[in-house]
Amino acid sequence: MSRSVKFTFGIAILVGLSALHLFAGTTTLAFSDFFESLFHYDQSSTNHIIARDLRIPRLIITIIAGAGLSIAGLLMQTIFKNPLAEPNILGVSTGSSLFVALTTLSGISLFQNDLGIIGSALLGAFIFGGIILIFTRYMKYQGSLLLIGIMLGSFSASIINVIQTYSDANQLKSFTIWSMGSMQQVTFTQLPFIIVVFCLGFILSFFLARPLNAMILGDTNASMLGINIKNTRLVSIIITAIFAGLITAYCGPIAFIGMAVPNLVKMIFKTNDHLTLILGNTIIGALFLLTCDIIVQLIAVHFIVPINAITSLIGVPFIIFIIIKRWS
Amino acid sequence: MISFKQLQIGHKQALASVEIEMLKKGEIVALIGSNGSGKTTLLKTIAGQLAPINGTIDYDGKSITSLEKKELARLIAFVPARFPETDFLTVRDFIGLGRTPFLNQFGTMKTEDEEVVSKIIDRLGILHLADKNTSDLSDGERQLCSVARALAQDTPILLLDEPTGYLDYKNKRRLLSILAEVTAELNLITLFSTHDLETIKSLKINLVGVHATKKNEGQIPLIVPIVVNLPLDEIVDEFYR
Repeated sequence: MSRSVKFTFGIAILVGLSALHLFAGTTTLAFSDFFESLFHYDQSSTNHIIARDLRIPRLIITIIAGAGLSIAGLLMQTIFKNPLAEPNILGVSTGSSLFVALTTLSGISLFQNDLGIIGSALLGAFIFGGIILIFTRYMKYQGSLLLIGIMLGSFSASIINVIQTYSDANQLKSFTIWSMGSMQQVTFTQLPFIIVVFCLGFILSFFLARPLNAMILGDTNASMLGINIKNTRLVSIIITAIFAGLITAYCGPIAFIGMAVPNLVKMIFKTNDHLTLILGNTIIGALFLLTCDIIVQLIAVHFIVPINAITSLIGVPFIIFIIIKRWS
Repeated sequence: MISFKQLQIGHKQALASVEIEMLKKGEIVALIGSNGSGKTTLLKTIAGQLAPINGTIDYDGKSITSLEKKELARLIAFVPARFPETDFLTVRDFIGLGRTPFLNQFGTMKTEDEEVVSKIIDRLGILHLADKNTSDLSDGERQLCSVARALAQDTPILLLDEPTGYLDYKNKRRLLSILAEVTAELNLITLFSTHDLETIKSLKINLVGVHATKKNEGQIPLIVPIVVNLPLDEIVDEFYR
């Protein structure tokens, strides 16, 4: 199957799953409800409220989170030459979580709003991304960076535990719910900001295609091909921090997508061309998280399961398969 | 022509002093010496990966050491000793990466880039490998592909670090013969490090070596041209500790 056929097929499934995602849920809506809610919104209509304020934001953030985390995972895997690298394991998402915990559990009213949470999530991602970048200078073996990332994760978790013991019940409850991950925390009015920030990172990532292609040959080879390794790493970390910070702020920490999807995309497209891989990760990442969220919604009738449980249930066996395939 | 002026190479401290005056266009030269004597250091210094301790390296009268990475990429192609291990990379795509300095920011190849890659694949006789994954190649095939990638970079200087390192006798001869042919055809300057003295001698390739005994005032070994007809035993005595 040619690359363009695979893309067409992927987009067709994405459209189908998006429709399924919109219509999934306990309340049955018609297509006209979505259309009307966007162009002739009626505040007194329950269907309009469900369509515009719940279903549409949920669909868009699910697509953005799946695509963004997968692209971030791809960038990390290429610049650190490790198929297990991703924003979560390298501590970038952990940095976001820590800073969100610091703001939501601090009780300081200045930070108890959207801007405070988003700002702190982005700041945490940038700071922890910066720490990883500094370590790359001193690490000859890139695998040890994963260990540093895991250490950063444990360090952050310890700080969060300490803060939690001093938090009141309400703060603790809201933080615990946030940390389970959910696609239902975004409102319609927040969408323009989220879309603009996502598009910024998405467009920027395409400009990395050429240097990332060369970097699969190793730093020396890439450097001899005229690639500025330091700049490529820096821009990759910035994009990862944008995606990880944005998505962690609005959806909570989402596990395993950044690790599983880039590997899956390489298997599907059988290439290392990053233009193809970025597009592939956008589509497959969105498909992966849409599927997980549809499962969450379907079983929500019986019991509530956090999205992280589903992404891990699907992601972990696949990651184990990658590890066995690569290192056995 | 590459010319060396009072060049001393090394990592922080001088490891060897380069007493070769120049490397001419259309000439292939083998660099010999003991392990750790400075062969790779010399190649990396010419390639701009290491700064010289002293002295300068000029190409056609212009200093190489002051060039930007992008300019260097159009002047020098470097083949390191180790082949990069990567999944999902076909030979054609691997060779295509040699065109990186000529591509736009998105890394998309134009028709002329694809033609360059196809010509090199034909020239090196590796069409049967073109759609294979690089992870499925033998050591000999990998070295040929590395040379092809370096040629795709279309530079006047070609540097190779132990290209015959993992090859059997037949593949060594084949690779070095191809290198000698393309060097003459394309008027390149080719310098490669090796320990395969017999093959080099039988192919009449010129030699330079890191002298094991002859030292200068600063007590560092000299990298010198080796007399063409010097017997093999004497070369080993003089250039291997």
